[in-house]
Amino acid sequence: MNRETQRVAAIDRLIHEPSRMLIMSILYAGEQVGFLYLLNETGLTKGNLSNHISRLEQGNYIQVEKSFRGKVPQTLLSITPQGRSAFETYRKQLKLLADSLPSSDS
Amino acid sequence: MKNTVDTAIRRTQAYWYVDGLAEITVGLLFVVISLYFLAQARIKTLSINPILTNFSLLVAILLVLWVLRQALQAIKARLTYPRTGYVAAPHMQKSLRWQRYGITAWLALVCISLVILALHSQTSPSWVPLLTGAVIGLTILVLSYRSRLMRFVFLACALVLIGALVSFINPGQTLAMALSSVANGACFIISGGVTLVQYLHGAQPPAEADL
Repeated sequence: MNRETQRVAAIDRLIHEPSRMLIMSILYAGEQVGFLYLLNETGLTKGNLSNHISRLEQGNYIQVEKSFRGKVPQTLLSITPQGRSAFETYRKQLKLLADSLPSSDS
Repeated sequence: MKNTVDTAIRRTQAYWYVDGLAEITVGLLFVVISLYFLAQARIKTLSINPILTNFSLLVAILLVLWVLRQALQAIKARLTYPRTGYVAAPHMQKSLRWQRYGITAWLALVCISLVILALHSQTSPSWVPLLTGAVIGLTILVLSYRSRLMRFVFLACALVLIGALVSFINPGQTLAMALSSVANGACFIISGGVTLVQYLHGAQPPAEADL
């Protein structure tokens, strides 16, 4: 396997899915984010979003907290230290991959 | 793909400015500060113990700041969270946090020194409002760069212009600071108010409750 292929193979596939990548990006920027905010920003359906959240939670990249704000139930999500480290690694991998691609001029 | 990641991060970082409430709060604080300067001028006229009254006025400003902060949280819970959702304060690395503390402390020291110079100088330096406006305007400009919100650029320009205008008029020591503070406050309130109206028209609470 050559170096470029190795780089592609090494990409974290749990994050690399577009919807999960977007979720991780948002959680990376916010200390704690509500489900409604994620729903608005990702444009996913509730079921779809819940599925992706479950996948990330199983991978220990995010943690989910269900609580109340007054009488209103709310679901708060935050990125775990493992998830933060994985996302930072993923961004570096993505950058290396993008830099290794030939330019459109060549 | 990289752009999508960067856009998502920046939008989340700009969350606290989406509804204009933070700007309205800062504007109200500037108005309170202008009242402080007017009270200062009155105290001098009445020859009341300046140390005790300055201390009392500063305590009053801190109290107002606390009240405004609590009010901001409560209003956001009613208006913003049901519409846009909730985002807590963003993660900050320790090194960046201390950098921010350092910059804030430095800016505060510069502003306080200028104000003391203006209030206690025999010949009132007319450039103090301009310099204060420039310092605050620069801070807002940095905020504009980080949040990618264009309205902060206009706000920064307005603050510098107000400082220049007040310096040009040069109404005198305390009145200059009071005038520039209330004008700055008005700019923040107008900017925040327009943003809030646009936000309330554009963002409706979802029909179903949050899961």
